[in-house]
Amino acid sequence: MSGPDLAAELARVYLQPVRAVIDADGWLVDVEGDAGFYGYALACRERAAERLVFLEGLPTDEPCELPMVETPNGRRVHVRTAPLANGGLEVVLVDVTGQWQQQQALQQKANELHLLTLEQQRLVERLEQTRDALRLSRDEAEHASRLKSHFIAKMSHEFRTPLTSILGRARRLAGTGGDADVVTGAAAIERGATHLLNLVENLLDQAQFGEGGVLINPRPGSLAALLDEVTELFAPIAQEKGLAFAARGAEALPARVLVDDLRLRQVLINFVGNACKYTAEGRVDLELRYDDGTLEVVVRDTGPGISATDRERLFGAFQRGRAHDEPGAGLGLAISRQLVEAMGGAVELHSEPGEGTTIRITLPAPAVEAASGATPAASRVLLAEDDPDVTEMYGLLLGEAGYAVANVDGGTAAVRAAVDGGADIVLMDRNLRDIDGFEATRRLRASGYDGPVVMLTASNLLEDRDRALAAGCDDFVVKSAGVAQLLDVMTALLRARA
Amino acid sequence: MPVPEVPPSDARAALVARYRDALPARAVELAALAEDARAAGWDHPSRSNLADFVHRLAGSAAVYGFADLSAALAAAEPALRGDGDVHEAGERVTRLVAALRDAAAG
Repeated sequence: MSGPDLAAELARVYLQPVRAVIDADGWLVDVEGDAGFYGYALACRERAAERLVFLEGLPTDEPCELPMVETPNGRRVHVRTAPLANGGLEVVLVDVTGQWQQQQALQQKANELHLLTLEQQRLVERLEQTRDALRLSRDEAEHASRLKSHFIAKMSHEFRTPLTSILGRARRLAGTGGDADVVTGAAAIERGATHLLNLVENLLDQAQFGEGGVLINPRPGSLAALLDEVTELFAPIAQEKGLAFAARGAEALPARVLVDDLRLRQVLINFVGNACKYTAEGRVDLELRYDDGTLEVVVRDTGPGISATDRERLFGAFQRGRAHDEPGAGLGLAISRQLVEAMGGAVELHSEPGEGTTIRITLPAPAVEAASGATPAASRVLLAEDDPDVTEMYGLLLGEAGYAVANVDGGTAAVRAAVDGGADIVLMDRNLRDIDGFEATRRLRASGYDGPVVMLTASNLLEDRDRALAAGCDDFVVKSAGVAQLLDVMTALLRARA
Repeated sequence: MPVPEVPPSDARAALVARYRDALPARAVELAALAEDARAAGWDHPSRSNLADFVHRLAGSAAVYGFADLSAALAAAEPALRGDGDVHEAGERVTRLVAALRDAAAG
């Protein structure tokens, strides 16, 4: 087929042209192509307007185009008319059904896209509203939590101060060896104050846990002394209730271990206290065992036991057991488990109703060499302290322990003295005249001093300890902890560096 | 579970006795600083002076074995520093002055 013939054939197949000729009177005089393809039944000598209704209203004296006309069978045609010299009209129809269908499909897609966009906008608006509401709720909850924690901490401090005073005076009275009634009464006051102080410590710890952490401060201490303390506290209470009480340590207990003694004491008071409180008859036993750096504490009682349902509830804060006719804040078990876990240990509770309760605590507690008081040879202490009273006392204490003490009253002077090679160990007060102890320590480390640095402070604040360690201190000693504690820390650090 | 404390030497006992004897003078000093703070309308510098004094006293009291006094001073410090209630600050100082005198009396 020749090119023009092919083009003509392709045009015929794809465009399906139909040509109709109409005379000046409106009669169809000629039809070319397959009008039936479009549903038109065209024949000569018929009125064109009756068959090709789209001609109605169209001018006959000028060319016209109708881009898309629907045919009787639903197809779409492009119509072009042209006037003829004899007054008649030529009408050409070309198939544009495919284009029309594509347009329809595109329009459909556009409609769907528009709907999706509207839906997306709506969802985004809802998401933003939900996010804003959640943010508000979170802020309110955080604010409430902070208020609660601050209130608890403030109240706990308010209680702690007078309780500490009561405890101190009661201990002094109990130790006078005077009138028996006075001594007995003072001992009872001491036990009550200790119990209250423990409750306050629990409250404070609960607040601190709520704010993200509790300070754990492992230091060398005596397990035997701990046993004695717990016995002294609870043996009279058990005796008053007619309970047998025994606190014992295994033969293999090391003399001293590295553990947060204050927290461990708090945990034991909570667990042994609970055992004594809820046991009506029989006995309460406390046992310490030790194996290869792990301390095991077992508290056993012959009380009513705890059901499986109550066991898990009891370790939640502020929950108490069913037999809650005994007074108590309900914090002890929850706090104790959190404290043990904060110390790197674990708590197991074995109990069944009617069969008593056994609580087993395991925690790491490396054995520590007994402090002999012997000072590592040639140990020069640089004491950075600007209070003359403190300087004088520490100078005396450290001198009696065999240290050579040099004192500076400012952080800048401390850095200079230590870097000049004048110190085997630095005791850095938290508050100094020119720069604080944290900054002085940072500068000390930046200058290359790598000897031990111990920060001394009046208060045991979590944030102060964190800042001290972050600044480069090796340890942190509260001034009220006593001479022996400070000497222990210094000895351990110097020996580790030797 | 305390570490067995180091027995006090005569020299240390003498220092403690001297510190105790000086506590009434510290009480007077504390009251004077509080009066300065009141006169200054409890402004920031006067409160800082007062809180710094209390902080230092808390530290030395702890070192000299006056644990109760140290705890009371340390607990009062936050209320004296900063922008807290001035009435409460005044109350705290009154109680601290009394605590210092109690500690001096032994």
